[in-house]
Amino acid sequence: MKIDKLFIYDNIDQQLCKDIFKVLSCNSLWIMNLNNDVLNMVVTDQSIWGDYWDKKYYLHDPILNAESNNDDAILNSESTDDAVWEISLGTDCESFNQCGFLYDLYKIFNVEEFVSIQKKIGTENYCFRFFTKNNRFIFMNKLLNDMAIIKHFINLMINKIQVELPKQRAINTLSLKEN
Amino acid sequence: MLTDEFFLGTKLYHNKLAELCKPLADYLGITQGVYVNIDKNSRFFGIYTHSGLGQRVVEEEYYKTDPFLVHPNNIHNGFALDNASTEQEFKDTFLYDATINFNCYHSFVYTEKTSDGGYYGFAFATAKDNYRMNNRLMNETQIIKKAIRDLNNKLSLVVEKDLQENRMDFATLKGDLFHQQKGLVFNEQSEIKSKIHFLEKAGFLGNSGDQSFLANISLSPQEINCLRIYLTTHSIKKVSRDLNLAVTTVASYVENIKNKLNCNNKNDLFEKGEILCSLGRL
Repeated sequence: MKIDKLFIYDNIDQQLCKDIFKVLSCNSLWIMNLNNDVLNMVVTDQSIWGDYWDKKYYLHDPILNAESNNDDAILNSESTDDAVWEISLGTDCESFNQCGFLYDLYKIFNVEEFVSIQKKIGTENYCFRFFTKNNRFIFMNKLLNDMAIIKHFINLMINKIQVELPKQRAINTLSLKEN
Repeated sequence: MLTDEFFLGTKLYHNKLAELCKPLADYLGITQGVYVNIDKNSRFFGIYTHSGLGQRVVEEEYYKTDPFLVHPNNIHNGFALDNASTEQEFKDTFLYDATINFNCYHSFVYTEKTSDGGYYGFAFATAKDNYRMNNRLMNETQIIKKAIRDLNNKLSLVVEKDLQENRMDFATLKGDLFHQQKGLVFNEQSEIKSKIHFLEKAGFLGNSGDQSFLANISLSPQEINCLRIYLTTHSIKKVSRDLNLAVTTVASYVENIKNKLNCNNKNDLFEKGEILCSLGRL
């Protein structure tokens, strides 16, 4: 799969996002929608997105690899053994606590952890990536005990996105990856 | 001595518990397991698969600050990662010792109320380089919950007599903290309010006029037991077997629950049931 277009928009239900953040003890959310080589992004915090974009962390993000988008799954920073992504994240032994996306998240944004929830609907892949500034384990507890609520939120947001996306596509177009 | 009574289950059954845990241990890469059962009268029975760890708990009196061992009123149903605990003393003592000296780097507990008003729980731990456990836990929560419940059913048959005759007075051993300490799995009222607020705003309650559904829902204790097991087994037969009830009785309970929750179909029941779990109602 080749990703050649990126759309970013923030016209989502911010209040509902704030409500789910309170439930999950998290602070920020990206919704990545990958459909036919096009990546559509919904972000509630432009600053984290800017860092991820400027430093090209997306190039090694396993969520954006076709191979890893085949199944519904929940992934945290420890879930993948993809060596390149580990270096990019900074979880490999050499760069841990020195550089990488996780380092930036903690040092610049005070973010402790992020968890990605992938959901496949037909030919589309959705990834809901929640960021938290709190104890990562508390956040994971919520994932274990409140998945029914999270699923309800995800389904609701997907329904909204499917209506909103066609309207928003003209707004913000950028080249993401070169051929 | 009370500490001898505390250690009795480990002395008798640590190998048996390890044997029964083996399928789950192999699947998750678990290296240690703990079983506890505390009834409504604060009487304890517990087993550590690693008798050395059990011994250390006794020697260092770690049971005094362990939030896994609290009064049944102070613990709810569900999962919790030990590292999520905000209790510094527990983290600095037992958790630190278990991590450094017993290779328990990642650990989680699952607790569930019993029909007699007490609770049972299992704690599992694994080594530093095993990320499989947390990953599978996140992705296969319902399957693992079912496996733990099956494990409890099997173990209960083995220790049935001990649960009747060999429990110890844990409130005396632990002291005041037994009644005061919040359990590892605990739904704060403020968290429940946030969830209800979200569900209302997210339209979960629909337009059927059942805005008071969450606040006023009233299931009998037996209906709660049925629903809790039905959510993980999806089988009326298995519920009837677990609760020792006739299939027709369970089917009738399930029908009542569906009506009380305004469910249109089975999927609706499962969704609302899981939400009730999240709200600490099951």
